Amino acid sequence: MRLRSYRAIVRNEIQASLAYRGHFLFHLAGTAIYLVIASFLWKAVFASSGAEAIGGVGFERAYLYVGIAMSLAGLIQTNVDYSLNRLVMSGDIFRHLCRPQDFMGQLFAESIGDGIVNCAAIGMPALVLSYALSGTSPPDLVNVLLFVPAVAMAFFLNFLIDFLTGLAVFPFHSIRGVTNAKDAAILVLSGALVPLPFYPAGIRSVLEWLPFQALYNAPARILADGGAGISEALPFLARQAAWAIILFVLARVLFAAGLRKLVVNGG
Amino acid sequence: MTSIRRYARLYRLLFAQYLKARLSYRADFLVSLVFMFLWFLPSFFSVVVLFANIPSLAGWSLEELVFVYGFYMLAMVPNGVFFQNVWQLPWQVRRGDFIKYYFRPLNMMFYYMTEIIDVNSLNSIPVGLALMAWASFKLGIAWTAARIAGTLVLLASASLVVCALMLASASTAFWLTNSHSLLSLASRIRENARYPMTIYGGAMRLVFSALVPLGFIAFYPSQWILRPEEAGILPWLTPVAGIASFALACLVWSKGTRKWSGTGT
Amino acid sequence: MSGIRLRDVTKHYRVLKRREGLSGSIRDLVSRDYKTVKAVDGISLSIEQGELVGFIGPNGAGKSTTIKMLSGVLEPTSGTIEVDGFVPYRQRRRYVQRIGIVFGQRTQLWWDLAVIESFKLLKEVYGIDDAAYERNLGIFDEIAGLKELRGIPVRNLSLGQRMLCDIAASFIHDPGTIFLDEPTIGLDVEIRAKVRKIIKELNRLKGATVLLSSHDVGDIESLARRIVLIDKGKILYDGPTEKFNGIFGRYRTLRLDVHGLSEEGIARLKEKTAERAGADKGIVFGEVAGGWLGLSFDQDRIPLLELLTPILAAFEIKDIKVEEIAMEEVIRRVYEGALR
Repeated sequence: MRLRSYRAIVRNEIQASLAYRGHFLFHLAGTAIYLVIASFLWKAVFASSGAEAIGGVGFERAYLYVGIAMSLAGLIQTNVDYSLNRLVMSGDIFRHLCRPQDFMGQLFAESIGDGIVNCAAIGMPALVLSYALSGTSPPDLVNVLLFVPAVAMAFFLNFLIDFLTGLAVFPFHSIRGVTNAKDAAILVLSGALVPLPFYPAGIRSVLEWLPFQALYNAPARILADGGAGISEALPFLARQAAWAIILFVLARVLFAAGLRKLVVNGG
Repeated sequence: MTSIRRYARLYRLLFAQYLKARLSYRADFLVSLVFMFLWFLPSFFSVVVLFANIPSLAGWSLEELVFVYGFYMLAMVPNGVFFQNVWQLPWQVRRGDFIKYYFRPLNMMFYYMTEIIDVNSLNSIPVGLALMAWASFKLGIAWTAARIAGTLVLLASASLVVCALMLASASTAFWLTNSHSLLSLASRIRENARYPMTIYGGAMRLVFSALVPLGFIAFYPSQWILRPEEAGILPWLTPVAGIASFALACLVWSKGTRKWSGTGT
Repeated sequence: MSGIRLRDVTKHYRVLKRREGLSGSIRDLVSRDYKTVKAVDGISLSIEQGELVGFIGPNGAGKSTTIKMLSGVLEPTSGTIEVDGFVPYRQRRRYVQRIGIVFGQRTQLWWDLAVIESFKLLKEVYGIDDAAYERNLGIFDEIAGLKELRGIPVRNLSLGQRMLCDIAASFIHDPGTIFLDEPTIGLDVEIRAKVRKIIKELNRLKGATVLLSSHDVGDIESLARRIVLIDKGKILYDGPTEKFNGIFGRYRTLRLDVHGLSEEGIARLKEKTAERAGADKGIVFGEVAGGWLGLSFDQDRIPLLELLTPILAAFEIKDIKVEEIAMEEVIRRVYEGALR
């Protein structure tokens, strides 16, 4: 496994991304606006409820959950579903398959390149803004250290989910419906739009076992739950890892199947 | 004038052709129908979850907000059906394919937008109407002739604001290489039109009323329909907002097409 | 005043200079560096109504830019353009009614609709009366067999079929001037002949001025009576096609399949052939691409068989191709004075 060749892809992608400085400005502006609007919204929610806490969380933490999720969204976004769709429909995929590198590895390396730039340009500033708007003190070092692997896993998981979504191109020749459904599902089921503590207890327990919460809820809890340590973070990380393995295997199996059908039937 | 009649005739022809072509994509049509409903449900669901925890939001009840949501969905329909091609603009401009729109003796925006007539967007109509019907039933709204007429005018004006927003954002493609990001940004911001304007402080409210007139897309019109006593002057300004913003957007577009032809590859 | 007139037309662009490497990309984020490109640098041209003119030149020579200015899309930086009495970039909608234009690979028909539906739409768009419409459709059927294609959606047509339809569509409103940019690119021999036929016939029947920009020597040879050669934004040659016959017919390109040969083998082949041909026999070797070695030679100086036989005898050549001269070669020869 020639890691250096993958590194070349990563570096290439970083360079390509940097050419689009306007893209980052807009993305960051969009995220910032979203964070500001969310702060108004959640202040209003808590004001209307009359209570200090809902579902056991007060405004600061509820807002942080949403804010962190929004900051992460720019970071872990991969667009691999669209890439797969484009590659298969245009036939370009064969060019990638002819390279001596693992196909999924190539796509992943490209995403990492994007992710690194997104992290610096969008993710970090957005996180800082979230904390500023929430009015809480910055997180403890322990939380930050545990946050990093959580984000890395969230990134990997999002990649896998997008990849699996992209596989819809094999039977349907288009991903449009599936990917819209996926985006909507993630928004709701991951606690990104409305924090999980707000959900009724029964539904919440179900959601906590799904892979979607591993994308946003898990990292957000790890970073924002002050006073929490390794023992609190471990269940989240473990669940992320478990889903990572499951989805990884699923992705490879389904991709191989789809590819076999493609090669048999022709372009 | 004969030119309007000509465009109307052309449009009817294009629409008929388009329908014919689209219906041949039968599988795709059905799939989008299904997914359209699936897409709307989750975000609606999150609003419901929210209201499981609070009695009202900034003084507005669940039923009222459902009404606003329904109004928003209806206001989105014209943009979804007629202006869907804006999303292709960044690529078409970047690749130079956009040049073909200069070559017909047609208004370029008309020619461009009629390339995609997204019939699927009409799916929002039954959903939006259902939401508004349910809410107005729960709230005991009396649908007099005057109210219906006013609502139609407000819907038309609100649609103009939506189209203007997307058109202006997309038109930046003639100057910027990242207009796609701006377009996504615009649609994300637009989604906030479903919330009550009352959650914002004075400065933000000014921004969302005058600069990026989100308030006129769903909230102010709904105020007039649901709470006419406290509505104030703003809902009455909706038609003004609609026409003004759309005129401005058209101006941006035409400046863009003139400019791009000067520096296109 | 009919015809095409350009006077001292120039077109300058400001282009971004991209810096190299990763650090360069980061620097580009904060400060940008521009340079001016002169795509068209002072062109004057006069074409009469009904002429069929060939427009040739290497890539990046300014051909597309000139055609875009002629079609009213681009405004020249300086100079005047007049086509059929109109200033193209001024009254776009009225001007465009009177011209037809086909851009190589890009279709202007409606992608999802059947060919005939596109034509019906064009009838509405251009306000063509029924008689003229039917007449033109009849002509297209006759010349290019368009009848079989009528019911097929444009997206299902092959490239060649689409090109025929695009060209027909460009004539349907009886324009006075037609601009064709690379109409035969990517087409196989059979379709190319059909495309040339339809262009020639329509030019003859309709008396429309045709400006044909092409990289294909065969197109120019068979259609154009006059050639305008443009390079680096300037006109190098403007005159009768006959002058080019010397170059077109005379020089050929021979392609040899050298898959079986090693690097030294290829080098030896070149050496031996150059030796045999002699220094002044005008043989020029190209690059080896995809296992094929190309060389252009002057038929008048060294006949094909005299060149080929020794090569085949001494070296293992799997396959050969003989082609017309490539446009790049033509231009190179022009620079070397072949037209004098």
